[in-house]
Formats: sequence, C-alpha cells, structure tokens
Amino acid sequence: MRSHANSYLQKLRSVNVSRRGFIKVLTRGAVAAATGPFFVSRSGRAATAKPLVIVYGVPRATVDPQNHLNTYDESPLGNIFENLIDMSNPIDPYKGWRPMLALSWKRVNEKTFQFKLREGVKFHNGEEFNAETVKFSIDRLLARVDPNFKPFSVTWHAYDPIDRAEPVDRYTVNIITKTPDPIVLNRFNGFGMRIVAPKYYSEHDTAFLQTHAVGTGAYRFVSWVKDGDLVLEANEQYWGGAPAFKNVIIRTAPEASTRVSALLSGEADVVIGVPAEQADSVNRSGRARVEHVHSNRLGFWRMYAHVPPTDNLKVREAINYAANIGELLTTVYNGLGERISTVVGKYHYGYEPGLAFYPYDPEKARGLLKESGLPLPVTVNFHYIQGRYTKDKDMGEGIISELNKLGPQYLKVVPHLYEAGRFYSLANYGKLDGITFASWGNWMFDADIDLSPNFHTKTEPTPDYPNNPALDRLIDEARQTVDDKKRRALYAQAQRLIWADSPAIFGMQVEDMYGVSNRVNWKPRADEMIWAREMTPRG
Amino acid sequence: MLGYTLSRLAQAVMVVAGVLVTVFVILHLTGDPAAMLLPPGASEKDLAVVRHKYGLDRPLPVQLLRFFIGDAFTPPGREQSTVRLTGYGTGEIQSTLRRVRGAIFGDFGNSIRFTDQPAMPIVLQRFPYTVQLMVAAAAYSTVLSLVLGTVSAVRPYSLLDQGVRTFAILNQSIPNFWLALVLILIFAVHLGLLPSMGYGSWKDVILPAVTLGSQSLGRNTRLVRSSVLESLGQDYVRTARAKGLPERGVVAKHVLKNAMIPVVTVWGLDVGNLFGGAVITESIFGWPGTGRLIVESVTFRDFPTVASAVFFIALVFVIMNMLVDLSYMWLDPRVKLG
Repeated sequence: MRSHANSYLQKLRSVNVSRRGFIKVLTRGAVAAATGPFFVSRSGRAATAKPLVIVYGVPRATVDPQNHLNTYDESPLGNIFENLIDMSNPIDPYKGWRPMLALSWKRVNEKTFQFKLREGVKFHNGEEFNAETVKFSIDRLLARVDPNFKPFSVTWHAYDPIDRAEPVDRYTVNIITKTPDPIVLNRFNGFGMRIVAPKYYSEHDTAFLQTHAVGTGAYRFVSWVKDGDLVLEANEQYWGGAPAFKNVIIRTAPEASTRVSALLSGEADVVIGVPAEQADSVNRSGRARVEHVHSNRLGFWRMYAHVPPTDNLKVREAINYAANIGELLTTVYNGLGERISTVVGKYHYGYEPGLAFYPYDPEKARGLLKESGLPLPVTVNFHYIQGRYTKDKDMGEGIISELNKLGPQYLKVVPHLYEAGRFYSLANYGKLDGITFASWGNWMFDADIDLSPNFHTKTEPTPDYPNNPALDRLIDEARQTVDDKKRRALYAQAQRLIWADSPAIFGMQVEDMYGVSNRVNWKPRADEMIWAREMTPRG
Repeated sequence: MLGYTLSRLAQAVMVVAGVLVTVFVILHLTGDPAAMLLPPGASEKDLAVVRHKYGLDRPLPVQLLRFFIGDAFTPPGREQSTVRLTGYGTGEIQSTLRRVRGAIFGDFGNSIRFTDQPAMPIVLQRFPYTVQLMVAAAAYSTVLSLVLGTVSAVRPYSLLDQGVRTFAILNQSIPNFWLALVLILIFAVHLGLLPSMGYGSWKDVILPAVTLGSQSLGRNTRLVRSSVLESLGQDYVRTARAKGLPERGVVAKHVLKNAMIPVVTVWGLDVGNLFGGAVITESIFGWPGTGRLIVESVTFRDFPTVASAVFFIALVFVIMNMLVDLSYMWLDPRVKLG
C-alpha cells in the first residue's frame, strides 16, 4: 500500500502543468480552429514506435492465466502466455490445430497422448521451456502445486479427465487421461492451459501472481493498473520472430462511443464492440475501418421441454416456424451474423451443416398451435437480457413481436427482461420456463461442450431437460468414441434429433465487430482473442 | 462544544451503519454473485462450492452479522471444508475460507472479481485517481465560478451577465454523460487536442475534470453572483466606496470575503456530488477511479468491493459534512450551536 502511495506521489510530481505547455495547447487549439478540424498534423514517428493501443469494453480481473474463466481475461493474456497448440486462423476445425509450443502430437494409446515440444524457447525471466514446464503448468492448474490455489470449478471440469503429465525426455511429454478421451488435444487450447514459468510461479504466492506475469509469448508484461492500462513490450527473443509493434497498451472503456471516439481520434488502434449503426461513420472517417467476423459464440433461445406449455412438441415447432429469425438478423443486426439451424457452433467439431432452416410460416404455426390440444391462446414466458451481448435486448424484443403476430387468439407471449446478473442467477438455478435466452462460447471447438451441458438430460440445473433418452445415448456414446468418422456420424444424428425435437429457437453465429486503425493490418479471429503479434503496420 | 462534537460523531456513526445495512440488503436482493462467477450452464454443485467459498450459503441474518463483526464467533473448523464436485468430470476440491474481521474493522472480506484479494485495499488503491479527478474538477469549477460570478454581479443585467447566466444554467442542466460525449467529439475526435480516454498525463485529466466540474460550476457561479450582488448593496460597501477605494479593491477586499460564506457551505456538499458524478464520468473516460470500481463491481455482484467502496465514500462524505458543520463555529462566531 505504501509503495503504491509513493509511486502515486511521484506521478503527481511529474504531472506538472507548465505555463508553456498550456500556451502550446492553446496555440495548437487556435491553429486547429483556423485550419479546420481535419488538418491537424499528427506526429509522424516511425509507424511501429508509437504504442499499439487495444481497447476492450470490460476490464480484466487478473493476469494469472490459470486462475480466471473469462474471455476478456484470456484474450489479452494470449500476448504474454502461450498454449501448446492453437486453432487454425482463420478458425476452421477441419483444418485443425496448429503448433505453438508443441511441434507435433500423436495418440499413443486410448489413454495416452504425446506432445513433441519446441526446443530452445525461453520464458521472459530466462527460465527454459521443456517437458517439466508442461508438467508443472498442468499440476498448478489442477491445484497440485499451491494448496491455496483454487482453480475455478469450470476449469476443474474441463481438465479433470487429465490424470497427469509425464515427461518422457527433455522435449517429449505424455498426457495420461483417466478414461479414453477423444478431445484430449482440444483441452490444450482451453482457458488455463497456458504454460507458466515453474520457478517464478512456485516462488510467488497466488495473490502476487494475479498482478505479475511471466510467459513465453511475443510480449512481456510491464505493468498493470486494475481497471486501467495493461502495458506490454515486445519480446525480441520470441521464437516466432520479434513482433512488429514494440509497445502495446491494453485499456478499457466501458462506453462504446468512447471507444469509437478514441479510434477516430487516432488514440486507439483496435477497439472491440463497434455498434452496428456506427460502422458506417468509422468506415467513412478515412482513419479506421470496421473488421467483422462470425464469432465462435452461438446465440439461441432455449425452449424448456420439461415444463408446460413448451413440453408440447407442437408448441415448440410452432414457435420455430413463427420466430422469423432470418428476417430479424437483417433488421436487428444489419444483415450481420450468420443464421444456423442447430445448437452446435459452425466452427465446432461435429457441426452438421445439412439441416434446413425452419421457414417463416405463420399459417403453419397457427395450425400447429390448434393441433397441440392446449386451450388457445397458449401463454408462454419469454426470458431475455440486456447489456451482456450485442443487441441482446433488441433481438429478444424482435422475436416477441414476431411471435405476437400470430394473433392474441393463438399465442400470448409474456416478456421478462433481465439485467445479466439477475438473469444468470435464475437461469443457473433452473428457475425459468418457456423460452429463455442462451449464449454459448466453446474454447474446445467440439460438439461435446455444446451438447453435454445444454441438451443432456442429466444436465444441471434442469436435470429433466430436454428429456430425450435417445439423444442422451448419442451424446454419451460420442463422448467416448475416439474414431473420427464414427464420432462425426453420432453428432450428425444427435443434431437431426434435436432439430426434429425443437428444444430451442435455432439462432445464429453472433457477429463480432472490431474497429481497426488504418495504420494496422489485422483480421480479427473468431475466438475473441486479440493478439498484437498478429498485427503489422500498414503501408 | 465537546457535547456537540460528540453528538455529531454519534450521528455520523449511525449514518455510516445505516448506509452499510442498506448496501448489504440491496446487493443481496439483486442477484447471486456465485452465478455471475460461473458461465451459464454451471452445475448446482459448482454454484454451491462458490457460494460456500464466499459464505453466501449462510442465512441472511448470519451473513449480516458476519458482515459487521466478522468470524469472531464462528466456531473453528467451520471455515474449512471439502466439497465434492460433479458435472462432466469428478474430483475433490479443498475450499478454505479466510477469517474476516468484519466491517467495523474495515475488513469486508475478499473481492470476488479480483479473486482472493482483500477488498478494502483495492478501494484504497483506486481512491487517489478519484481524488486527482475531484481536485481538478473542484479547482476548475471554483476558480471559474468565482471569476464569472463576480464579473457577472458587478455588471448586473449587462450582455456579459446574460452570457454568464446562460453559461451557468447550461452547465447545471446538461447531463454529464452527454457533455462528456460532446467534449470528446470536439476536442478529441475533431480537434485532436486532448485524449478521449486514459490517465497519467495532465492532458488526460482536462476533459474528465471539465465534465465532472460542470454541475458545480453552474451552481456555484449563480451562487457567487447572487451572493456578491447582495453584498454589493450592504452599508460597509458604500462606506468603502465613500472612503475612496477603487472599485476593484472594494470587490476584492470587502465584497468577495463576505460573499464567501454560502459558497464555502456548498463546497462541503460538493464532495458528495463529485463522488456521484465520478461514477459516470470515470466510466465514460475510462478513468480507473473509485467510481468505475463501483460500477464494475456492481455488475459482477462483487459484494465485498461494493460494500468497501460505499463504506469508504460514506465515511469521507460524513467526515466532510461534519467538518463543515463544525467550521461554522470557527468561521462565524455568531452561529450558535446545540
């Protein structure tokens, strides 16, 4: 605390408003006013000497890569730390994984998976990367290093199938799983599976490591102020070659309009979450552009098939025929975002592209409601949220108004709008019924993580949803099937079953909108990771 | 005097305790922080682990008591437990609860967002940033309101006066968040003179300070104007003028000094207003102060951090008001107390 106060005092001393500085600003102001707003000269230093500024909307809570579970924590930390593997970029599960700290991998037997590691890699503090390092990182993640280190239970779930890591030689490591595990490789792309420096991470305690970071990545950690700037500098010894930009500042502006302003004034180089309606003005500015990508994140609306009235198949079908998702994507998202007709993400292993969209057919929907055997109008609750994802509220209201178009004599939709915190506390207890907002990311790019937690009957918190034993059998079997072809076939079958059973209003791959300065070349990734080493100066 | 001070102190303690109870109740009514920590689809068992880890599984009155006096009466052993996890994997996880000393000692437990870090130091770390912003805003609004208010009062109903009054009313009535966006648009996007966000250099503080100070600038300008105007009609001003003092001397030495009393009173209240305004201003300009911390912590249902921050701000506010009240006796001996 004291050292912080001292550094603050030093900062105050350096914040010295000199008269000359003030006059300089005034003069520049006068010149700017006289010459017009767009002729202000900007310092023309070397393109890469000026720090690269990346602006997020949500601040990070820690710089410990193994002790968090949020995408906005994970995304910036990918500059400092690395995994053994990375999904191909642009992301495509059919192209598979690409090597990072691991050079190659193979399955040795049903329970053993082997990695050959990259040689000659050093951590930022000089420690050497090798098989022991991998073992240490996995042990730490599984809470076997520091008894005070408590991994989040979600990480615990994701990595519990891993029994242990066994170094074979200096640069070869075996991963032993408790049971045959078809997606053991995918787990190494997960949150927490970053490789950390053993000496540094065993010498310091958990609290200290939340504010200090030592990895192998293209950038080394310089400083971090909570809710303020995370400052990085280039790792000139990086195995993939020194990155183009030497200094990176990662900041946070919760306000979307502040982020866009910072981009347009040249203070920011990459900003997340540009509102669709501001995309035009960004593109016309001549200083920046909007780059968008179909996100790995999947949006759909669950229909609880274990409580009335959505336990009735005809009611669920009617809602899918009347929701008019295709039209809503055009109006609410300005045509961005891609409609899909399943609940497995487009980028995920096992995605079944052959399913038709439910067409917009209000007549058929009315017919189905009449056939349902329920007294008309059918009353259904619609639970949706605001402020967590792009246009979440607008999309919810769009669906409600489309459903209401069936007419009050057929369907009565009761809207329930929540702020995200309240919503998840109800949804996670299984206290909701009817139609419910859902948004699902998936760091393993595998159908199992889409289907098991959401559509298996044993799923908590709603253990009897969606109550389809045939689907349960398919999910269980696919989870233990190592054979690629057989596994894909099982998932295709499962998704056809889900389509026919209609336990959700099938939605879309969400669209991520990034504002990118014209001094930077960069194509955004679908997994929400923003890595400065993938950026280069333009022109 | 001593009796009055003591009774004011007792009142202050009551106010802070009331604030704490209110915060506790409101936060617990609005949602479960355990659910916020885990993604949707997290199992009930996992939620139970998180709830247990942060003591959220105890009855509300027990949580309130623990909130105030900490674990003083918690039987040893209760804070240690092992919970078996289920879901799509099985395993055991040891969950150790830190003994908290309670709100009365300023210990609100560990932050939920900043895992396992004590909440109060996080608030204290951020406070200097807010102070920096508040001091800048207060300086801006005080100096400008004194100048404008006086100038305006000396030439009442002139064109200058009309201009100043319009400016004051605009400052008071334009909402902070809108003013902030307009300032960013003009000075950052179009003129490129000042940064739209960030902190650290003196340039960074200008736009947030102007935004934050705008309300009190408007109010204080009007206050100074009416106060100076009133003083200008007093007998001692006429006397000063009669003895041949130049007008500038009259205003500076006799009028302003006497006009200051109501202004000083409002300064005390301004501390609270600036804290309130800082919540919005800091969020827009990405300023890492206490206001931002509160907003982010509320979104995360980070009870301990919100409680620490609100407790701290309430404490500062109550102390400021107490000092203002006590200073009356010193400023103006005619003020009788009790």
